[in-house]
Amino acid sequence: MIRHTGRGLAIAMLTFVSVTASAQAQSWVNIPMPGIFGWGHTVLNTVAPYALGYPPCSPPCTSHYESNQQTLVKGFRIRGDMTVIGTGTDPNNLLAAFFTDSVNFTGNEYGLFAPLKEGGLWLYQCWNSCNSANQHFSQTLVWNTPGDYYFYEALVNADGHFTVNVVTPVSNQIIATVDVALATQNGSTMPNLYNATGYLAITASRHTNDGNWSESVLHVDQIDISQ
Amino acid sequence: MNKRTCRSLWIVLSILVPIGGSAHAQTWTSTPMTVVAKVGTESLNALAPYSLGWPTAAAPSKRRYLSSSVETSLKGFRIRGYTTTIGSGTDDHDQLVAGVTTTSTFLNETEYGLVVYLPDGLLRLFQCVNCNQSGGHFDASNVVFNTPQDYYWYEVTVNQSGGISTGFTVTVVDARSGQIVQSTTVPQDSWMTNVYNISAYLQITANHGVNTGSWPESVLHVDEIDMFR
Repeated sequence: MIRHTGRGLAIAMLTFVSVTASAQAQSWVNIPMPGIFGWGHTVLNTVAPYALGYPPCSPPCTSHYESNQQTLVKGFRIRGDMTVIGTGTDPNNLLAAFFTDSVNFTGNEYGLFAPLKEGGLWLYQCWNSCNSANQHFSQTLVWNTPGDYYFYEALVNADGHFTVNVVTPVSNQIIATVDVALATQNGSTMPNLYNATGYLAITASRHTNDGNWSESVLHVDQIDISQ
Repeated sequence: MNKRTCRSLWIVLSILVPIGGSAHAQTWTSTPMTVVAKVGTESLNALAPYSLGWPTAAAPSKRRYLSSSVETSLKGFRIRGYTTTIGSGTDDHDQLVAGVTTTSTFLNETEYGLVVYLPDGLLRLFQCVNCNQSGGHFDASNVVFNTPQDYYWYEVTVNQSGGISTGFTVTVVDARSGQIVQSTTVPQDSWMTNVYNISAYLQITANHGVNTGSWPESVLHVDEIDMFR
């Protein structure tokens, strides 16, 4: 994902609701991430746990993983954290976990990301040829401390709106829930990606050389899809 | 000695003392690591950050990195990271470790370092000689931090007197602010050999020692590992 200057910045709406009011019944399925792209062809773990350090390469560049094509996807979750240490000013240097319906990342996307400059964990929606000049992009703050080790769930509801849960990995207790409506920009609304076919990806992305984030790391010990 | 000469000498001494002091200053140096044990045909990160998941292959099995070469003048080490201890079991041979070993074969060696026994999840300082042989000595009775699940620098430095080690200081440091969270001193056991200023390897390990437990969600995260010289 790359954000452009014309992106919409949604107002953070933190809505804590009860467990019973959360998204639909979930069936979590662990998935491998066979598409492995270490910066400069560096070797990365071929099985979980995954650790993606902020890449020390010439930007734009990434270290990232991709899944095979998945069907009937109703969301995803990661168990891990996004460690943000450093300084910089560019909002496109980031750590992210996301779903895309395009193998070339040019379709519709949603996911969770930590922009290194801004901090926090955000749910983003990207449509109308994501990662192109014409894309629409919206982001909503959903959690303030992504450096904490949790399950981070991004679920798609039947009507397309999103529910983000933060869940303790040992006791499986939901400690925060945030509902996020489908974003609209310039009369265009994010498509409903409930039951979509597509791919999961996790990435540490270096977009510019504006700072020093060499100690920042995306830790993903487990990644599942909701079906 | 006239007053002018005295002043000049004072200036020279003022310059030389800091230089002499800095020449002996102890420093942290990042250490590259090489994969030496893994499960099957899997690959592990060739560069930091390193993530060692507890191996689910039948015991005894392990995932391990060793420093790429023997390091000289070692006076300690540190890691930036954390452990996750999720699962069930009662045997302390299921563990996550970061430490120093005098041999790459782990035979007839001296070791010290930090270990987390998965059943209790506490951080311990361990020291041992001939660690893995009968007649050897091993001590990990000193708990030095209760929540190694938190992301910090975990530093182990060797204390000495007259160039001979006398014990260890374990310091937990905030990775962002550099503030010390906790510092604990552990005396050296009487049977422990000198480990101050030695040549040795750094190692990190996720160890599946017995088949009585299940810890597949437990991980040793090491985003950086440094030696102290």
